[in-house]
Amino acid sequence: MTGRGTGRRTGRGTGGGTGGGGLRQFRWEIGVWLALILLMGATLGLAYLPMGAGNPAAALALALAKLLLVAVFYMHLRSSRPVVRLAAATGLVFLVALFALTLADVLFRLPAAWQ
Amino acid sequence: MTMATESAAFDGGPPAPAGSYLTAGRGIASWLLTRDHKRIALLYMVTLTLFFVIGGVSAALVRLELVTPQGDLLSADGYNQAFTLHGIVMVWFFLVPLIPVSLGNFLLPLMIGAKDLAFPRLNLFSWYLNAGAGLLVIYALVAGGIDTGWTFYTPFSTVYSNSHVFLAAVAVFVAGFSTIATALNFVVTIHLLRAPGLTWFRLPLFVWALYATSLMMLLATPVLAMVLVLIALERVAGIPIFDPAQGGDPLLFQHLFWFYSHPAVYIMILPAMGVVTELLTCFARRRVFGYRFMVYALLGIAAVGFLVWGHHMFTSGQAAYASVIFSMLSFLVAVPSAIKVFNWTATFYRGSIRFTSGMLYGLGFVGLFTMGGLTGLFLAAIPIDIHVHDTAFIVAHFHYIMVGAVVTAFYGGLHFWWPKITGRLYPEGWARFAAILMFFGFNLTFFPQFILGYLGMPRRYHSYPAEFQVWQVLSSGGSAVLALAYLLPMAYLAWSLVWGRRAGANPWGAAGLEWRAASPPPEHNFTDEPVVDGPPYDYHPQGGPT
Amino acid sequence: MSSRPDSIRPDSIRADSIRAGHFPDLPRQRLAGELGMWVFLATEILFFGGLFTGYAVYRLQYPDAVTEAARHTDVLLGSVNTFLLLTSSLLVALAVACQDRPGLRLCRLFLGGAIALGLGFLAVKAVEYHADLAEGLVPWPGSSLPPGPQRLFFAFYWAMTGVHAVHMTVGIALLGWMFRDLRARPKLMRGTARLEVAGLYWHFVDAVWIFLYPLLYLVGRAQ
Repeated sequence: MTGRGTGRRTGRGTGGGTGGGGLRQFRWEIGVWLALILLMGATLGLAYLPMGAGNPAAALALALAKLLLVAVFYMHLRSSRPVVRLAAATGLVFLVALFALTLADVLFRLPAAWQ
Repeated sequence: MTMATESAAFDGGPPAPAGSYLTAGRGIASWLLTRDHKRIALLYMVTLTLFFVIGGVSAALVRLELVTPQGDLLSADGYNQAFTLHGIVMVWFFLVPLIPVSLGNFLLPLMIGAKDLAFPRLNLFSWYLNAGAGLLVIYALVAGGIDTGWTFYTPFSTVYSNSHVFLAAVAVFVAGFSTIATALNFVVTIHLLRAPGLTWFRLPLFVWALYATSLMMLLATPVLAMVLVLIALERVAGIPIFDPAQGGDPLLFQHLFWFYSHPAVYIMILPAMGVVTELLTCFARRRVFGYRFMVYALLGIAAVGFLVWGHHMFTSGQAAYASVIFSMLSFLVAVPSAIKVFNWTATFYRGSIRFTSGMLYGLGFVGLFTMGGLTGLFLAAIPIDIHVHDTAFIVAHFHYIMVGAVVTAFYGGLHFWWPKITGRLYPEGWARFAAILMFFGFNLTFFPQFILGYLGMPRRYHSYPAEFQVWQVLSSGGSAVLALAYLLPMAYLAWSLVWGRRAGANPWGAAGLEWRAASPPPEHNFTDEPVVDGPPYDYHPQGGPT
Repeated sequence: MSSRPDSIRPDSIRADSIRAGHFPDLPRQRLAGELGMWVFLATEILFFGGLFTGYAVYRLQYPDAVTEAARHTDVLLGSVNTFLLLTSSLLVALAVACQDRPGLRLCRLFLGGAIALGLGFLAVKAVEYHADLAEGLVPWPGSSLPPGPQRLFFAFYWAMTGVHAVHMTVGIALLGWMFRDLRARPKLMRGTARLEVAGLYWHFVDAVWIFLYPLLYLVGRAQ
């Protein structure tokens, strides 16, 4: 039987391979880890740099970058089928809806909004 | 056993097929440990019936109390507990799971030509979660009841109530996971286990409705689960998440609660819409009018339904800007809902309509849904909502949708697929009588509540001024009629299990893969793998009359 | 792409012994597992989303109190735990990457390492909780914090880390189960998506912490 669900990779494995030796075969995984640790260091360092409203913005931007690295490489969204990517995106889209409309209320109730 | 085809329609009484799912295993363990989606559907029907009775009895108490203006049958506390129990049981243990776990569980694999759901063990597990959670609610009832209303509003539920809120929160949390498990199963099954040739736009609309419902369950229920965890933490560990004394924001609770609980209404109504589409097309012998628009309308309701929750908070101190946004979005949901009503109606054009019990239930649904939907437009308008907020008007409105429309559609679906599920036909005359009785009983119960609410009768009060009594008595009288209409089918359907005529594979001459399986189907549904080569609702040649 | 083609799999395993009867073929069964977990993770996003929304609401309403309260959390332990979790995710990714290699020894080694780091995370968290309790950094009665929004911050601190720790525990149990099956049922582990699916859950729990770390430990440090 052919069609949906067959004849395509299941999108497993981001790097390495069956052959080869040493750490080179895991270069993707290790490279992503290095990037994650660097980003974590940057998050920590920037937190001590007075930037006002820039502090939470930078922290969230860096967290988002880390999330993308984990999702795209470690969770294999890079090579996943569209339906899997759709599932991943749907959760985030509706989270944005929850945030946006809740804050549409809360932001307009802040003391600053009354003045 | 031969593969039944459409030519076998309206056959008299063929012998029972050997080896149906009902006879595939014997003994109680073969039911309690089954992984067959059809048997699990029947397990669900047993527990759903139990919860329906519990919820119904508590509703009867409420209606009895309201016959007289004085609070004489129940104390104020007793009344609070009665309507809270009614709400919790009916919402989470009856209406939300109702159609998906019973008809959906039974029919989804059959309708897409699959042998089972993708995760059969998870399916069984979700029944145990649901039943266990239900037992917990019953225990909470016996242990002293809950008095917060089904909405668990803070800070009453967290700081002041001395009733079993914690138990109820745990029970609803677990029940939520049961729905999530079912929905996950449905989504994966619809994506991966469709029969060869069954493309997305050849799916019956009931399958599309289950898909849209599952998406809403998956995305809304976790937020409810979290808010229940927070209530439980606040009650048990004293973590003051919603406590105004520490600066906590009770509106935060309402946002999170209604992010689930408004979509919950669509979780109830979407599967009902799917059922009704199957009924109306079959008994009008017409393809559904505007199939693709019906699909888009289902998905549109599912998506926009997430963006309207703030219309529950117009009077709660929500920012006026947010109220305006929520009001406009609420009006927007009316568009796909109206598309559905118009398309059902247009389906009848040049149809060959038979007023069978299935058709009568379907028409009852359309009428009640239209009433509920139109009064919903009143409530989306901020000025009217402020006038009738927390009155019997609201109670009438959401009962028209959640109970009138949904339960009518469930009964219609139960009748329609009863021959498939049990292999028996029921007495059609009684069924038509019950369908008509249900429509009138429901309207008699709830239409007076629109008037009561508009005149200013608040909800959740056990005593009221004497001038309201005539409407309250009408409503209570109607509820007795309605109860009879709900019980009557249980009686003759049970009767048909033993004495009903045997049904053929396709007694209604219906399109749809489920009718190609034997009645009742064998354990793995189809003897030959079905292949689909055409559009759904193939009741007449494209374009022409039947 | 560097992934192994699927075509080598059906030859190397006895496909029928591990295929569930209601799936037409093994790749579809594998995809069902993967998709099922992703759908579940979508619900988890919304589950934690409720908490994050609450946090955002209070941080916007009480910026000064949150900044004040957040300075009491332990940056060092929080950072150590972030490092442990990110590294455990690497090990899980490596375990999944060598699932199809001839022996499963390396795979088990990586997975065992990830489990150890996960347990280490919980141990550090326990030490941190202990110190928090000793200092009265709690939102309930007996708190050393002034009544008001500062306690709300710690309400979220305890609720968020607590719910996350429950997920960590589930994740460790899941990885432990896979660790055992890699030895006990190697054929099943190679043919199905079980290891991958357990790994997805682990990475998700890691991703949640990636957000908890700046929200709970790094607020109000720049003064």
